[in-house]
Amino acid sequence: MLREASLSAIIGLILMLVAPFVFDDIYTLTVLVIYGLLALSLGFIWGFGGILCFGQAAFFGLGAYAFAIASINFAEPWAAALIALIVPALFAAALGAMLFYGRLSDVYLAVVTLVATLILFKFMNSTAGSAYKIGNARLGGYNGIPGFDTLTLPWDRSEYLIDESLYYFCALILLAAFLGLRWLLTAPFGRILVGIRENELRAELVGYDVRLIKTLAFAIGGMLAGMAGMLFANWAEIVTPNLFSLSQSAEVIIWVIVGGAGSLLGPIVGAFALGALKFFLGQQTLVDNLFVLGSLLVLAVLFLPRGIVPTIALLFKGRRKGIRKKGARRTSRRRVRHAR
Amino acid sequence: MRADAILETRGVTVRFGGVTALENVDFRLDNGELRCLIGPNGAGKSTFFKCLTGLLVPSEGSIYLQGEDFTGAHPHAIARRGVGIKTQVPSVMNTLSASENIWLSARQAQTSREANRTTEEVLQRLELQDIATDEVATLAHGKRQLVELGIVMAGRPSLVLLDEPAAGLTGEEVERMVSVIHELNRDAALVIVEHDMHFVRSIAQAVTVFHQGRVLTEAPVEAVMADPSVRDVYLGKRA
Repeated sequence: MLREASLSAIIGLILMLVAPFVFDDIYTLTVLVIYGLLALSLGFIWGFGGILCFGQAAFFGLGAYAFAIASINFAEPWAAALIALIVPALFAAALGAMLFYGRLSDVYLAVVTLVATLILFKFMNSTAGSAYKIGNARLGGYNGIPGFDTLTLPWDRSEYLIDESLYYFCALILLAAFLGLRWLLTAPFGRILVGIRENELRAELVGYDVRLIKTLAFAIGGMLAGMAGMLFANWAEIVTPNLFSLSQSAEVIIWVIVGGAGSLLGPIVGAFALGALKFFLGQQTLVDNLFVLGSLLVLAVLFLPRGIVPTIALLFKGRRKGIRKKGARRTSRRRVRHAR
Repeated sequence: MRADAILETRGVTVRFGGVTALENVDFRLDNGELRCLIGPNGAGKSTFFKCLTGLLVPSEGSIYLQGEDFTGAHPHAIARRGVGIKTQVPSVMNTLSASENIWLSARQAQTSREANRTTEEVLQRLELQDIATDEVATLAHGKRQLVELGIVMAGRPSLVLLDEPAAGLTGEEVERMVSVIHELNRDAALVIVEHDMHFVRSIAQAVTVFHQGRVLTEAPVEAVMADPSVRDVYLGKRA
């Protein structure tokens, strides 16, 4: 287990270091890493907790807004970053508690989370008036909040995290989140969560408080999405209500489905691949962006229902088994010959 | 309530709209006892079982576990009180291995290291070592039943509730189930809902007969078999 984790960390570090040399657009690469973190947050709660949340964008947007508002008010970006993790985590915990203690079924859960996101989207869009401010930060309605302090190097407040430094910071956070979730899934909490996904009733009948465990997992997912939102705010240097939009919510789900919900790597791969495609398509006017993404989703559901990464993993597993079987057959033939 | 009763219900009534599924059921089970619940379809056995497991809240009446009122308690709270539950259709975690299923049950009240030990022990007791790493979804019905019993065992319960444990088992598997139940009964009291009278005869000391949502009679198994009212409503004349 430790060897696998170390191997993942080393591969992740190498990819992180090599990526800027392969893709020379560091600005786009940074946002792809941020999308990867957002997809990972949904991949965790959906793929391992069985919680299909249509409103991951709500936590993403809340993280971004919390960072911007706290940064303006406290002029201390690192404290703002901490607040940007706490606010979405608490919101997710409150929403999750309401859903899971209220015994809402999966479909209702998806609808409620989607509605929560749309309410935030509508609300943030209607906060253009001067009355809508938190401390010194005006919410700004559809114009959003620009002009807040972004993260600096902790030891040099005049050095902002920008371009390469922001990329490496985001990549390190993604790697840490990936390894953290890997560890969590092998720890009792993660194993119990997977057990709940498999059979909620059985988990209850052996004494686990399913409502509490699901709420905690939902809050962790919310915190990770909020972290992605905080990084996005640092990348874009502006936060707007579009962070809460329906398309943002839908895109995350598409990334996870295409990449593969049953693995931690899948959502990241999905976000990278489709995010990059979106940027590429954005540079042309021939084909509509959403049309291509929608078509890819349909194709993935039809031909790769498990998603890219789990399918590749299965192929490798099958090949390894085949090789092992061949090897065993050869050994037994040799034994037979030897016996003769 | 007497001190040696592990489970007692008083006046348990369940209504679904205008239909009364259970009416005024008084039931008691002593420590270490093994009791079978029998009765025709629709007699209220499963409804009563669901009340005991916390899956259904009675409309009236109370349920006591070791003297404490647990009426309306959540299933996880009842399980934590030392109640192991096996449902009619094997309720297992399908894509996990047999040992992982058992480990998750053991881990609820034990440290990970203790849970590892308990899992090994249970796999050995149920002779499931060969399929320990197999995905439960790929196992035959009888093995799945045993895995579910392993889940129950791993929780080290003082009271075990089993709903039709012999359903769908082959003759050989039923024999195995009988010995597992006797083994369970060494450390725990058992309530078993069962239809198969041969099976009931081979395991039970006492039987409670349900009929039309009420307790018709409660007596040792042989007395129940000979009871004309039970033969009338459930067993038939040739039993």
